[in-house]
Amino acid sequence: MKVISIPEYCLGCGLCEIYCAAQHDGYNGNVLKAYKKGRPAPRSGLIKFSQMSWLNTCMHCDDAPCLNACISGAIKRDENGIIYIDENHCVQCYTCVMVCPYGHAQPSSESGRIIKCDLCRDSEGIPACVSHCPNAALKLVQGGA
Amino acid sequence: MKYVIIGGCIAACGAIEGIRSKDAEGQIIVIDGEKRGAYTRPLISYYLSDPDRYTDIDYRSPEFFKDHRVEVIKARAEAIDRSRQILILDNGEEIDYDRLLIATGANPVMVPIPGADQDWVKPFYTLGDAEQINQDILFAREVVVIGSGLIGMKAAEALHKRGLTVHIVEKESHILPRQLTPGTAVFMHRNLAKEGIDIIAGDEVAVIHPEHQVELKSGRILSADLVIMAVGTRPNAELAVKSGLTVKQGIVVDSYLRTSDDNIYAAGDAAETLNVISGQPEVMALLPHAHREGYLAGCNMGGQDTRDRGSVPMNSVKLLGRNICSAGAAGDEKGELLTWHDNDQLLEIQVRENYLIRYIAINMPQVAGPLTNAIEKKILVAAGDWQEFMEVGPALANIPPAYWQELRRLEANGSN
Repeated sequence: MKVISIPEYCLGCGLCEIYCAAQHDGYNGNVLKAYKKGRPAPRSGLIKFSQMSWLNTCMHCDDAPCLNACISGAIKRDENGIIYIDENHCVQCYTCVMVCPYGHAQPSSESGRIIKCDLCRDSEGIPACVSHCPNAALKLVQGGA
Repeated sequence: MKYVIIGGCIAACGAIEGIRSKDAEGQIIVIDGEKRGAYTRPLISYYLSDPDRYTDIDYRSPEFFKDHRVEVIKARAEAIDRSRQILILDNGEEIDYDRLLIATGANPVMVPIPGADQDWVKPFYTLGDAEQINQDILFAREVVVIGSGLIGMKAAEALHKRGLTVHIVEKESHILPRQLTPGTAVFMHRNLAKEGIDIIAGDEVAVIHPEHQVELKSGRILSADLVIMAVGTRPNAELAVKSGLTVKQGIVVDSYLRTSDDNIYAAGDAAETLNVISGQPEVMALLPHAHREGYLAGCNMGGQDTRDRGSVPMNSVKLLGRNICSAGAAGDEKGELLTWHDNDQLLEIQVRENYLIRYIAINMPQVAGPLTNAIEKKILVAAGDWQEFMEVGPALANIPPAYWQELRRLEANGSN
């Protein structure tokens, strides 16, 4: 499974980032609570150019460079094929950052540890970015890159 | 089909995953000569810096071999009888194979400096080495590290964190000679000196005296309770040589990771594979490559024909709070250098005829992934676009659009 972006539909509004951030770090999707204390960190980031924009998110690759290159075993794949990170095991070597063609896995500005898309595996239903996209520019599809 | 893998580390794990993606039934046997199962070698420096914290340094979960239905035999491979397709172990056991993978890794190079044969001169390569050094430093105060590559620097950092006085002796003009340029190294030298690590570049160890003194070629004398020799590694290709396989720097393989024997493959630190920038085969003893090569070898052993498109040297390392990501060409390749820096961050890229061929990013990991991929996959981006990227300020959002377009095209073709 992975979320794909349809740049033709993307408005560049950034709601995906906001709901992504609010879905993680224990905020359970509560945007007001999440943003009260400052700027929580979205796992995936929008990329914008003058003519187009899209959400640059994890492809949960079948042969995932980040998983293969992780020196600490912190990056794992679950039974549904979702590539996620056990943040407590991350030693901040950033080898995963160096090998991801999408530049998806990124260090958290707070902890320095890697944060990445986990398809909201700890919550029910479809990923927060998909369910809150106002123009259906994000789709949850089967299969990894 | 019966698969036998010699070595039980990263390339072996990759191969197991590769084989199982093609063949769910075949028998897989791993011959592992190391006491512990597959752990990630780069973590031994973390272990040394804080042994109580880094106890779990496994590369895959403990159930990995069982889950992939792999039998592990703790022994060393002694010889390969190629005509009978039989592997002979040091315990006398004989194992027949249909496909054999040599993933025997590398060994640390111990330079025969006078005095280097003393028991307080150590390599730093296995977990066993790290455990031994952890014991040795109980009563040590001062240490000399010979070599400032990744292993030497991480050893130096760990020992510095443990409170020892550390001297690093590097024969080139700056630390991390394979990763950094003289200009970018200045950035790191300052930081290390501030932390109190003594860097002696452009000098060499001449003699290691039994009185716990290390004499340099310049005449300078350092006292040391312990010397760590970290001048590099050499492919462990002895078995391949003995078996009559073609070996140059490392075990020679074709683009399917096959050795000069059609039934025998090689991957990881023991093999030499294509460097896409130089166009030459080369030993790139790096963890991501070990897995990739192992995985491809496994797929091909399992009946697929996938070419290894080659790669480039790449590293990401954290040293005393600073991250260095680098990938691409060696220092002597020609091309235009572009540099961007800001307080504590630095990015240097090298462009040749509209292709990125190298980058060094200090405290700038954000952009590293696309840059590595642009080099490795030779993605065409106009030199002017790279210039603009460096001028507006390197950030993920400023990566040239041509890169993303090509990435999407590769993705659509399923060749990413």
